Amino acid sequence: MRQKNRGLGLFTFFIYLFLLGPLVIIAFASFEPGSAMKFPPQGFSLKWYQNIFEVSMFKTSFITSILVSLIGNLLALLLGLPAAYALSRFQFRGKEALNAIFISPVLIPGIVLGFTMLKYVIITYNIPVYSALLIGHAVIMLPFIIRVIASSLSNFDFAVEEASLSLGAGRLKTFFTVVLPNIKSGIIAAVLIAFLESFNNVDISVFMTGPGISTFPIQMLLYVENNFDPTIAAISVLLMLFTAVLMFIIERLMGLSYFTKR
Amino acid sequence: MAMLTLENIAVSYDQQFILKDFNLSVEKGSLISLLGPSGCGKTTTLRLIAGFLEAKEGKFALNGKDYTRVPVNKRNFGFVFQSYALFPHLSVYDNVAFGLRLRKVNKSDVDRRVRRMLDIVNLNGFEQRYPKELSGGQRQRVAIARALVIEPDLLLFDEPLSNLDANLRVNMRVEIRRIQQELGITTVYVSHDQEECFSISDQVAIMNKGIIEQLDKPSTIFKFPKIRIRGAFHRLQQFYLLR
Repeated sequence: MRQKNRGLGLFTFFIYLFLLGPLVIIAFASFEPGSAMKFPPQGFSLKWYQNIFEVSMFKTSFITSILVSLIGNLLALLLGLPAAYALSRFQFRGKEALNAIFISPVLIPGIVLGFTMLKYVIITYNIPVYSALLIGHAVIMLPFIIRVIASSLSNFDFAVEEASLSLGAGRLKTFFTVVLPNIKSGIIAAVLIAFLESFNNVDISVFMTGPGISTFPIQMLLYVENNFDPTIAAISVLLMLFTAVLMFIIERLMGLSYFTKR
Repeated sequence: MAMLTLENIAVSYDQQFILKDFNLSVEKGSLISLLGPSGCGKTTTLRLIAGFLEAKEGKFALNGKDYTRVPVNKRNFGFVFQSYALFPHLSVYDNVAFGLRLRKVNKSDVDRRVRRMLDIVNLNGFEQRYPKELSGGQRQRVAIARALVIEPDLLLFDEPLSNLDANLRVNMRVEIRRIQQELGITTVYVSHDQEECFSISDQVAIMNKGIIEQLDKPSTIFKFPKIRIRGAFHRLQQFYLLR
């Protein structure tokens, strides 16, 4: 038994080493003072962190990314919240099919979805790049919004809603004063998860960006194509911290187990 | 004087009639229970009266006013749910005050009425607790207070005691009866528990497959039962008949 546990411990150690090792190396390499990434670093310097703020395309694309993620999130929430509510609350014909359609953007490979969006949204319907980017991001966020809110609603006793109706509140009033406050943490978690999904997205964005409009991860790719200095490592560290903070907030709100159970 | 009347009510679900040509009348201020096995139509009847379901045919009137097409939130009926259905995000006080605030009752009256109602259900001092901090019996009393504080024209119970343990069930039904008598409010009570229905009601309607098989005072049903009598209920009947 003891022997077996030691084997398992070793196995787990290597799994973590494999998963986290590259991240640790990147983190160390970001402090390299020289102009090429090295591990272990030859000294300690924060100049590549400073460099992030000096490259103008990082600044503009960061703002674009944040705006697209926020506005796209709002669009996805406006569509996703009523959809999640209807799918959880009512029994109707075609419910399973609708469920499948709403979840499908996660199942279709991003490259395929991105290319299709390029073909229809940009080429066929000629929608301006910025709007197209917003539509694309709203589409990839929608499944996460619906899934997380529906999961939150599955713990909600709809008799509570009936209680509100019987006490004299109308349907709309009931939704805002009784349903919403009880799924609030679910909604916040859904928004954060969707935000991360959108902010980190490359495969859709790469098709939907055009002249002068680019997202942050796309700019990172372009930068790496031409430069191999530790700037990119510095950005990675900041993004990791950013993501960790968001995940921490989600964990605090409702526990990550929320997303692993079906 | 009959106060609540259901006339020729029909309710169907998926082309199947749950209630058909259903008639019922209840006297003002009395407590009637609907008793029967699951699927007998008792809950459907109650939800129809509450307004959660709409009748396909027929008429439902209360105090001479036709309620058939009145939406649930305009009915002013108190409903007590099997799962209590308290608002999890509100304190006991706010749960009870919910209906009054919707009615735009002024603040001092809300306070007075909520406190009086919490007094009636013996929940003084629990104002700031949240539903999850209460026991089952306490939650049910909050639910009753919340339904009563709006001074409803009709009080409806849907299996209110089935989630409680046996001892508490007996205490709670005594309490429900006491409050109902004290306020003289017309009440419809749904349960599948014979003992519970017979001990609490002025009249019992025994339902099966969407029809009322027997509707009478408990003592009359004890003497001339049309149903199979069993278990604890049998002992209760013996006790009644010996008296």
